[in-house]
Amino acid sequence: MTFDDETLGAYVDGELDQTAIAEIEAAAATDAVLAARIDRARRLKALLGGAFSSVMAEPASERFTCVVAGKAAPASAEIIRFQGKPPVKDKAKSKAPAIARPASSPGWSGAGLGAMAACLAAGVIIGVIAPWKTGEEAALSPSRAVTVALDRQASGPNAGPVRIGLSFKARDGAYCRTFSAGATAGLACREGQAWTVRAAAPAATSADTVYRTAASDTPQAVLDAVDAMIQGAPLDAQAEANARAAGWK
Amino acid sequence: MDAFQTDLLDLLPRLRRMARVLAWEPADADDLTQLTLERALVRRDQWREGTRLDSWVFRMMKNAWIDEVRSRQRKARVLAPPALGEAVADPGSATLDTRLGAMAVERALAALPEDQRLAVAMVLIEGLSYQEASELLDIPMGTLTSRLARGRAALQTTLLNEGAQP
Repeated sequence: MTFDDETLGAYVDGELDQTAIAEIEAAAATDAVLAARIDRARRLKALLGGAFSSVMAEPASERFTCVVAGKAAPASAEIIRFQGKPPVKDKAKSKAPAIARPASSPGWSGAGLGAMAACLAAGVIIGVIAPWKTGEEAALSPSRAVTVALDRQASGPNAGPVRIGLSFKARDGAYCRTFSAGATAGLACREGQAWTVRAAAPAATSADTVYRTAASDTPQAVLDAVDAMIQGAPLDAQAEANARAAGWK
Repeated sequence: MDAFQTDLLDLLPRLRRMARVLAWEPADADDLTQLTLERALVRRDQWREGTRLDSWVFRMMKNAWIDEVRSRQRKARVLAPPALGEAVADPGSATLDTRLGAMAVERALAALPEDQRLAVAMVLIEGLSYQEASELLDIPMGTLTSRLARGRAALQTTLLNEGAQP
């Protein structure tokens, strides 16, 4: 009796009924070729399962636990402000966006108030911030999609998931750009080789369509942060293209 | 957190694994995982209690992958080819042999046509039944089993003859 590959696969996957199982096992007992085919299918399955054991063993990162937990929290209408460059302390508070973000990152299973507070903040910036780095002086880096847009995308309407609002040069000489991605809008500045998110706030939602004019879907809070940092006027299209070509340096 | 959220977090390791199979690069896989979690939360009203949460969320991840992340990845890849094998080859987590084996598996999976890769991911890696997988992928059972057979044959040829023994 011969069995095709689909049948043997179904046998290894536990998809056959008792009669079919008995037939295959009886045949394999005397058919070395068949037994070897079954063995290969089993080994493949074991190999595939084992290959991702290190991914499975990774502890749940705050990035994901906060995404899940953050939605439970009432949405905050407040702008979330981050510490910008680590050395900037109290003196910057009045103008530049700066507010302490939760310092610790307790596991969610502890579910203390501290953990939930950390997640409350994270819930608002879903989809924008890459894995949280812990430690008081950690800067915030945007997610990959936002980074790609910040690097390459021109300001203005865009069909993709990320929209860039405007680009400008900050008083400290860094290039900064506003962006919106999903439920979040923000402001990121180029620091060395990377973008750092300086401010973020909930983007205008569909309920706010009246206010989603061509001019801007950037929340007022982010525009205020721009006002506090900008040197001169926003870059025009040519200046922006030049800055992009120069790698935002 | 309520029961739904707790159940979702319990699925996280499996979601991350599926994301690695689909998206290949760790950064994209993590973005895909996050997008899936967000969608699951937004659409939680659509989940019917008593049905399997894992299938429901995996379907969401599959769709998120096809709708959003995959196209983005293709665009990005033109400029930045992926570092092969980087995904599961994180140092310190396994012996060298295991890491090499994991890299070979990732490479072999990435080389499969996507329809076969999805079938292999759902059944051989995730352990879903044929019934569950065919519903989740919106394909007839016969299509699923033939994709599985072709994917399995290709992987066996690549992996079991390449010296990447378990």
